[in-house]
Amino acid sequence: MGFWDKVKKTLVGEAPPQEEMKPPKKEEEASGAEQKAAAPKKSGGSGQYKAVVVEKGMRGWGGPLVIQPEPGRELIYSVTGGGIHPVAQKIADLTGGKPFDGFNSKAAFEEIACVVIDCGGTARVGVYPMKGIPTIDVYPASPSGPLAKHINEENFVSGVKPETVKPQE
Amino acid sequence: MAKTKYKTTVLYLGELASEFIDESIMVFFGQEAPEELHEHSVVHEEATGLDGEVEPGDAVIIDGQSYPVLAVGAVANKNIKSMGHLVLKFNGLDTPEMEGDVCLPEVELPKVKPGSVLEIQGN
Repeated sequence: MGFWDKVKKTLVGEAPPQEEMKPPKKEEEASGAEQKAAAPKKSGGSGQYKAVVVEKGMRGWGGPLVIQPEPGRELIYSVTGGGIHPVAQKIADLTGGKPFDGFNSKAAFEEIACVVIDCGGTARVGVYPMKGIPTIDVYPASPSGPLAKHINEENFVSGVKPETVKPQE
Repeated sequence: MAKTKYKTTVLYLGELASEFIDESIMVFFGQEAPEELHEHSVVHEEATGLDGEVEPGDAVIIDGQSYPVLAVGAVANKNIKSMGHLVLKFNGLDTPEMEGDVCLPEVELPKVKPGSVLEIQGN
């Protein structure tokens, strides 16, 4: 056996079998698909979405909320009138979610990752928490009105500004 | 002389509008607002956009009955302009509790129904 043959044998022989070299990715994909099995996969796995922490601003109430879209539940739903609110845009930019203007078209609640409202405190503050949608108010409203019973610190945060939306560390 | 700043016609009342009405609150939304907001509100069709701003001293007139405006929250005008959204509170307050409120005297609420007309008049 020549020198080069020995070298070759050593290299090939000690190299780990090909199968073991594959990164263990299957588990990750499976857990993502499990959560939302029926959801249509629009582009790739859940790994494309990042989480943000949304904290209350000055005089605000509730939160912090962690928002992370999922495949099929990726809309950052802006019900603010006059287009996509900058807070909704920032959440979309940081998470990879899709900004969506609630005044232009309809969406199913199951597709909504969170809603951004500019509610002065009576109606919209309660409607979305009642539907189970994490609700982000850009005004510093506190729970009030007949729907206050549906609002809590886990589903509502107010006084939010683009600066109080941060990537989750 | 008083001018009409806003005029709108009620299309229908959402199923749960009474939850607010029972607490002396009437929530209006334009028909373009997302459907989930219709449920609790008085849905209406604007005849005109808001001309100027609603101010204390104006009058809200519903089917001919006039109510003086006592106070106007900081975002009430923006709400009307951007989405036909108006929150009338018959609470007699001269300082709004919430930024979206338009406060009126603490009286019995008018019975609005499809076809009811709401006007806001002022100077």
